[in-house]
Amino acid sequence: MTPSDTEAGDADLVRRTRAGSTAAYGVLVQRHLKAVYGAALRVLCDPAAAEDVAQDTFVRAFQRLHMYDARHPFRSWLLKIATNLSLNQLRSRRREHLLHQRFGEAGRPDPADSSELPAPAEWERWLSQIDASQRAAIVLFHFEGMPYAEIAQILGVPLNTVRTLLHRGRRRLREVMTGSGMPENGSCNATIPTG
Amino acid sequence: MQCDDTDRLIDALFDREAGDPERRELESHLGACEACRRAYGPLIRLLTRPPDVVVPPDLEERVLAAVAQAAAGAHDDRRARIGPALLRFARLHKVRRVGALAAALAVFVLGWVISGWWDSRATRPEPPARPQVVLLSPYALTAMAQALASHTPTGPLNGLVQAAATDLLIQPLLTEPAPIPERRAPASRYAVPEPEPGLEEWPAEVPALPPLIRL
Repeated sequence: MTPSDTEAGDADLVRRTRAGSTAAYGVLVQRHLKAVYGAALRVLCDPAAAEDVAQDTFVRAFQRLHMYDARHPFRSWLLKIATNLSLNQLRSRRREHLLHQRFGEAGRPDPADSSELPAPAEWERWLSQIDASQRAAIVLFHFEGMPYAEIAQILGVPLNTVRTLLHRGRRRLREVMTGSGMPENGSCNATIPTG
Repeated sequence: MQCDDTDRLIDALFDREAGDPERRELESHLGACEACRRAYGPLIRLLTRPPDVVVPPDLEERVLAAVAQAAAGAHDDRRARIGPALLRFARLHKVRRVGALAAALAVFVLGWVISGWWDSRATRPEPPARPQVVLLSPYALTAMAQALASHTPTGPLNGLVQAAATDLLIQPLLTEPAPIPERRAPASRYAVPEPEPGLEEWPAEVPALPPLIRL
């Protein structure tokens, strides 16, 4: 990895990776790993699964780099892959859970119940209690700053549905947060979003 | 502003459908209303200041290892597809040069052969027309002469020969040659059109034309 690699833009690094430079892709991994892992963690609310998704995201992006459209930001493309992988994993997990419920087998241990894993953060518990699509919309819009159009493309829903998902998700999240023992001191130092 | 409006106003602010006046109004309401502050403060704080995510220290290393493995796998797949022997063969630069020269030579020779064939095809003389000759043996000629001289058939074979000789020698003299078709000039847009039926004859009186004015 050379200093020119670390200073180069994403488009240049992608071009170098396509030309065969694995070091250039290493810079891209270093640059976007936190965003990808964060998005997966917030959607999945499971650190181990988020690590798997982050790894799969970068491997898939490397294998399908020829499909990347350079007109869009590389970070958005990575987040799209990570979100889709996370939602797919949630769906398969739900199917697995239903199968275990139906046949009475011992299912996959819940990470929250495992004493070996670290206790989930409070926000992870809040997010985990809302619908997966609403959670993904909230993560992409509020945490990753994506516009409605890109979220609609990632989730495969119309633009108005994204708005509905956000409204319902925020309402549900507020219910969850207020019902989980919020601080009673009344201090509200939140900054209202500016237009 | 009432407490019932808080939810709607927060949605409008997050959706960037409300401006600074609404934002100030909401802030003043949250400052004054403890119930709304408790209900909406944590949500606003979470959504405007997302919790920081700590990436596991070895995750980057694992991701890079997985990418390197995928890259090696892709390279192995390519090698398996092409074939190791062919890959080694292609690595030799001299072979590439020889291959290019051989391809150029093959193209030249092929072009030369095709052009020669084309020229020979264009200038090849037409074979002479074979003469339409009827060869008759002396015996047949003698028999024909006898048949014509005797005027009357002397036997079945003689009668047949006489009829055949008559057809062969005399029939072409009796038949008239086929008329040679008249060659007509091809029709063109400058040709005089054929007169319509009923107008074959010109009118008897020619109308007087106006005098020609020459300048």
